[in-house]
Formats: sequence, C-alpha cells, structure tokens
Amino acid sequence: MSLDVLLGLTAVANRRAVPRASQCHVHLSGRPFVVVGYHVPGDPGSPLGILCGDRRDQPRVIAAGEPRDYDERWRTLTEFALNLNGYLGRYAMPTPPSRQGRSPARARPVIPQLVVPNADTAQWLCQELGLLLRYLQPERDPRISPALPVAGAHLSFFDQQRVPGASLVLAMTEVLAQHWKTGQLPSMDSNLASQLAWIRRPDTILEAENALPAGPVPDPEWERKTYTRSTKVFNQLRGVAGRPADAVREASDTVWEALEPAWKAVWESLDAVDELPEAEHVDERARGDEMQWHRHAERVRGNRAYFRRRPRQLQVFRYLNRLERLTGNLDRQMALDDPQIMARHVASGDALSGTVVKVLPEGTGRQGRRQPRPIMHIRPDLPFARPLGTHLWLHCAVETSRAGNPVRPTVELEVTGLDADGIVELTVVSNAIKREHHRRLPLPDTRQVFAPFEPPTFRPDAIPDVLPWTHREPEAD
Amino acid sequence: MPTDPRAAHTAAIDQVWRLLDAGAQAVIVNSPPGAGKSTLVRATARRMAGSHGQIPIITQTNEQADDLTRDLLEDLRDSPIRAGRLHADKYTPPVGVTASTDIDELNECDIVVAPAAKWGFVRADHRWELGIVDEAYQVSSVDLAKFAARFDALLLVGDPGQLSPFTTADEGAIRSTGSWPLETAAGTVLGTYPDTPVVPLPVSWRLPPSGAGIVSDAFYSRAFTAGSDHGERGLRLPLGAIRDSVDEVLRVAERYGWCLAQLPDAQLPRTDPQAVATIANIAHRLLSSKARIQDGKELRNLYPRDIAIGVTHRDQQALVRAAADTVCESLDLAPGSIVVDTANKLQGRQFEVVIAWHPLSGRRDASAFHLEAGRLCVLASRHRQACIVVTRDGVRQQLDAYPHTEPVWIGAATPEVDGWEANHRFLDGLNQFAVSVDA
Repeated sequence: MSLDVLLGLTAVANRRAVPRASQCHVHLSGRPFVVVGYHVPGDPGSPLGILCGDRRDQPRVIAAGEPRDYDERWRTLTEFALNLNGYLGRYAMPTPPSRQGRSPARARPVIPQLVVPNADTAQWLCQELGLLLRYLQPERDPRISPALPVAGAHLSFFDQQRVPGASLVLAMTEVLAQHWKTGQLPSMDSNLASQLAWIRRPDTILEAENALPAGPVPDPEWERKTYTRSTKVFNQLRGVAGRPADAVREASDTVWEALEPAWKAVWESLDAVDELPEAEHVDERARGDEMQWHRHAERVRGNRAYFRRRPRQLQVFRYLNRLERLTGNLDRQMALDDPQIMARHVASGDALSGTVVKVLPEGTGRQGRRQPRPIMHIRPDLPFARPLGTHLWLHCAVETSRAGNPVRPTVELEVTGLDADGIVELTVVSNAIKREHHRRLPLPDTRQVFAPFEPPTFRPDAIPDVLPWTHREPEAD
Repeated sequence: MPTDPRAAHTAAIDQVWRLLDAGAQAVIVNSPPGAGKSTLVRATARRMAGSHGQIPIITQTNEQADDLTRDLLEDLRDSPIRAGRLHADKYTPPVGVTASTDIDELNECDIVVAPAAKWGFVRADHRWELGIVDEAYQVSSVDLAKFAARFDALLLVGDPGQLSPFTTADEGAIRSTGSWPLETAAGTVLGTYPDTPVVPLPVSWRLPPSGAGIVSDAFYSRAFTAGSDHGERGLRLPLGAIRDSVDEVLRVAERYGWCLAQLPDAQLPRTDPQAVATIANIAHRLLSSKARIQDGKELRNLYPRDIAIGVTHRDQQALVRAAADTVCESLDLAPGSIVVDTANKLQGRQFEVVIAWHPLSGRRDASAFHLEAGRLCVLASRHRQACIVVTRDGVRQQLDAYPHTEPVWIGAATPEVDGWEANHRFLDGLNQFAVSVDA
C-alpha cells in the first residue's frame, strides 16, 4: 500500500497532521517578499487589495478605493510594482561569484523569494499579472508607470521558475503538503488556514475552514457587503479636495482586516517549515536558483528581458527536458536526504531496505573474471518483488576526492539472485570492484537502503537549433 | 477493396510502395494490432535498400531495435543485403550482429537499425533519402525533432490505438505553453502536412475474428477485420462438467474468444487481493485442464509460455507475479513461466491466451491515467485465441459517475478515440460474455 494512504488515515484518526518529511526541502530566504491579495473576481488585472512586503510586523497595505476605476487600478498596480521592484533591486547586483566549490564553507546562496499563500495566488501574480504588465508601454500612455513593465518582466521570470525543486516562488500550501499529510481531501489542502490548523492547532480546524479565503478571489459575501461599503466611502470622499489619502483609508482598513489572518498564516507556515533541519541538497538547488536569478537580472539591466506570448516549439521541447530532469532530480535528492521520504520508495517496493547478511568482496570466484565482482546478501525488511536484473544504487558516505573535494560515490548493483527465504543477492556492477574501493561496501549486520536512483548524468539533449521539416510553429495568436 | 484478407493486405502494401516510389515526403501506415507492421517495416527496408541507398530504421527502444535486427538477419540469410545495428556507448548489442557506436563504421550495411535517441546523436551532416520509423505512435514530437532533419523522406508505421508517449513532468505545466511536445510522431507530421497519405493496414493476423470485431469497434477510428475465419482458431477444452464459475469462465472463453469474469462490485485499493486470487485461479485452471489451442489445422497443447497476464500498475504486477509463481510451483513449472507485465511492457508482444486485469476494476476514481484508451486496448489486443478480462462489477457506473474535470487546453489536438467512449463500447461488446465469479 502506498505510505501516503497510511499517513492520511493516521492523520484522520488522530485529527492532526502527520509529518511526511523529517527535513526541510525548500530553501528559506531570511527575507522573503510575502504577498497576499484579492482581485476582482473574473478580472485578474484589477486588484482589490494586496498586503505585501518583507517585514512581518509591517506589511504594506495597498487597496483600490474603486477597482472599476482605471486610474485607481493603475495606481494600485503601480504601488505594488514599486514595492516589488524595490525588494528585487536589493538582489539585482551580482555578488562576485566566489570561485564555486573551492572553499568548503561557502556562503549560503542569496536569492529573492516570493512567498504566497497558495498556488492560485502564485498563478495570478506570476502568470496572469506578469503577462498583463510585461507588454505595457509607458511611452505610449502617460498613465502607465515605467515600473509596471519591469515588474511584469520580473513576475514572468518568477513564473518560469515555478518548477520542481526551485525556491524562488513558494506557494505555502504546496510547501506544507510536501512536508505534512493532513486528514483532509487533497483539494481542501489548498486552504492555507485549515491546512495550518491541521498542523499546528488541530482544535481550531473547524474555525479555520470557515475563515475568509487567503485569495486571490475574495469571499463573495465579504465583497458584497463589507468591500462595497468602503467603495461608497471612497466615491464620496474622492471629490473632496486634498483628501485622496482619506478616501482610500476606509478601503485599506477593510482589506487589512480581511487579509491579515492570511498574512499571519503565511509567516507562521514559514516558521513551521523552518523548524525542520535543512536537507542536504537544498543548498545545491538554491544555487541553481541564484544562477537563474542573476541571469535574469542581467537581462533586465541590458533591457533584454523579453518573454514570448507563446513559446516557440524548440523552447517547449527544451522546457519539457528541463522539467523532466528537475522532477527526477528532486525525487531523487529528497529521498536520499530524508529517510522518511525514502521510506515511501521502500513501501512501494522500488527501493530495497534490509540487513546485510553476508559480503563477499571477491565474489564467489565462479565468474572467472580477473577482477571478480563483490557480492552481497541482503535480508529485506519487506518482501522484495522486483525482477532479477533490476539495478539499484548504494549511496556511500562522503569521501575526499584526489583533488581534495568532498564527494559521495554511488555503488551500482544488480539484483542477481532471490532465494526461497527471500534473501536478495546483489552483485556490484561499478564503483566498488577494485580492491581499494572495497571499503565502500557495507559491513555485515548493518542496515542499508539500496535505492533505484541512478546518479544524474550530464549529456546533451540532441534538440536541434532549427525546427526540422516535419514540424511547424503553432499559428501566431 | 478486395474482400479476401490477403489480397487486401497486399494491396495496402503495394500502395505504400507506390507512394514511396513516387517520391512522397512522408507516408503514414496505421496498423492495428498484429497486422504485420514489423513485416512491412522489414520488407520495405529490403525493397528500398537497393534503390534509395542505405535505409535507416528508427525504433523506440533498444529492445525493439534488437528484435527487429534479429528478424532482419533471419530474413536476409540468403540475401546479399546486409543489416547492422547502431547503438549507444553504454549498450551491449546481442552477439552475432554487425554493430557499432559509430555510423561511419556501418557504411557496408544496407539497413541500419537504432533507437530514436541514438539517431538524434548521429552527426548532423549525415543525410539519408528515406528513413523508416517503427512504432510512430510511440515516438514523440520531441524525439522526432531530434532526428528528422537527417532524412529527406519518412515512412511512419505504427499502431494508433496503443499507449501514447508520456512524461514524468507535470503535464499541466507543459500543456499551458500552448503546444504539446509529446504529440506522436505521426500526429506531428499530419499536423504539419494535413495531406500526408495515411494507409491503413486492413487485416489483423493476430486477433481472432471475435477479438478483431470488438477491439476495432471500441478503439479504432478506421475499422479492420481478422485474417482468420470463425472457428479456424481457438481455445479447445476437453469435455467435462462445469463445476464452478472458473470452469464457466474457460468455457465462455473457449466458445466466444472472450470472457468478462466479474467479481462483485466493491471499491478497493488497486491491489485487490480477490482479483489477484481470481487471476491465479484462472491461470491454474487453464494449465491444469489439458487445454489445447487450435491454429488452422494444427492442434497443440497450451503451454505456460502461451499465457500472459496483463496489469496496470507495478504493485499489481508484483502481487500477480507472486501468485502466478505459486501456481507454477504447484504444477511443477519453473517460476516465471507465465508472463506477468504491465500494459506498457506488453506493448508489441503477442500470446495465445491473455488474462487482463481491467484498469478500472474496483476503483473509486477513474482518472485520466485509467481512462487512457490505449492501456485497455493494449491489454485487449495481445491474444491470438482468447482473452479473459477480470474486473469488479460496477465499472460502468463508475464511468458514468465520474465527472469530466480534466482541464481543456489551448492547442491540444482532440484524440481520435475518446477514452471514456472507448471504455463504454468495450464493455458493451463484452457484456454478452460476462460470467459472475464468486469472491
């Protein structure tokens, strides 16, 4: 049975979320830019109100006094854009890349991080607002601030970086679901308040289920009653000379009241994941994010941050390759870092976990090779049902390479036998055949996990530079 | 169209060759299961090898390339035409085959076989007049893009009813780009050149008439027929009383070539232990009842290797394999004598009798994965004599109750056969052969 089903049932029985991971698998920047917001239902281009900023105790409250009014709409969007651009500006200057890999105590990667309550908000900001803002032309329309297309380019960049393992954008419901299993239906996990209650305060689950939504679409009842009242105030006061700030204040207060719980929930869920120790590979993935960010910042500086409305075929092909690679990488790295995640692979039968019964470094001597292959006998914890010939990998302890760098060798093994008592015979295929490498073999009576994770190989993808005659670009829109 | 199956088949092949000789840039051959697709690929390669220079054959996997090369060598034993196998550095090709990792070392060969991934890495200045793509409905648009520029013309041969290319990445993220890089190679070419000639092979030589009718109706937009006549083939059981429902299952399969063995309706995890036990019982009874198979005039015993059990998931495979091995043990057979595999792995193989575990059996949710018609089609079209489908009752209600929540994507081509419809039509066809099995 899938381990997740068991965890879900346990969570229901205890009425409390169960950890799915024992480590934190996302990079947490010390100063994330948190955004919670509402837009007019059906019109992602018109925000009603946004709380944003990198200061937990002092969010910036941006409210539209009258979202149907064009000037108000551009004013709101511009205010958000200026805040976002200001935050990102602090990360735009490249810190001179310290020779990577040389010093053992490298500084933590420094990346800007956009944190939102849920995937829908991420999609609204990055994909929809990004698309709307990036093509705006301030030179043609005086109402358009030059900050808008810049923010659009940034948001579109963040949209492209919503890929497995990347930490530039965090949708907290997804992050929480990665680390805890609640007893609700998966679709209900998109409600940050109730998900957080399952994890931190199970006695408040019912209350949390009825809380106002964390965006991006407001509660219709709230919108009809509370928000409409503040627009009325705005429309009365806006005509009065010298009081534009007063006119919006009512709307600001309303928005603050509605979104403050979501704002707090985002920060609290960041606390929750931060309490877990950081997994080993998180740093490596964040370094990838750092590189992507600086590449983008460079393009913005050179005014070359152009995003196609619809990507070209070859770009989609490369994107598919990249996504497949990242998906595999994340799966593999999370399992290797975190025994609790590896347990899922053991439970599904893909990985073999068990006690080493016997190690024959010289093999059985029957193979007639000059360099015989070491053989191990494993008593599995669960019956092992993969066929003979299955390849598994043992990830060894850190060693120092000849050049003096820390490396983690992987021993490749093949399942070569399965006896009636369920003992599995593994034969080394590579990386522990030479005598000097026999120390990589585990000792008898130790418990080991042999995982189906081949170390990643770096090879070109053979995607051509020009689309061949068999293909054509999709029609322009 | 000629009504004689052999003449119809020959006419289709002649049409393909005429089109190629006339200089068509792309020709697509739609081949139903067991319609002689591989034979067509080999025969075309042999025929074109003289007139079109060296003929490369592009397969999907290394195993397919090995099988094809082996069969080619068999065909060419008394012929001056030479076939070779191009492969990647890390791969060891079978012994006795002219093979190399470098295309330049295979200049002597008139036909060169390699998987799509390898053709993509051949240096770009190599050009061929004609390339033959085997399994063109499993090769994806991305893979096609990697090698297509090296060929002036392509013959794409494949089975449109089988499983399509899939990805481990998040499908929604890819779909939202507005194009679908996992479109099939044949579909890609058709999208670019809608006038590309599509030649259907009209006859399935593998499926018996009973099988061809239902499979063609449910899963194919272009109908095909069986190459054999009613009664020419089949499972033959010795006379005897029907003691229980398993006996009845075998009788129905003997008589009609199909049987829908139905367990009582229940919603269960996908490792439904009663389904496993039922499958094992049926396999045991097949082997212990002295069943024979008829093939035209020939009548021979049914051996374990003639039987395959098809499942959907790997955990199902593990459980059924364990159960099947227990069956083998009780009959003094070596474990593994009966093939147990997932639909993906059974693709392209054939057996005398197939026991198929219905992908929707006992499920609470019919997701897009299970509704993919290709999976069921593969399971239902591997047999030469009879197919026994094991399922929980209630699949139809499940299909009806399941809402369409899959998003609709811009730029996505509509599938030729709708999975939901195909599932229903398949059950419609099989309903008359239903036998209730006690849990």
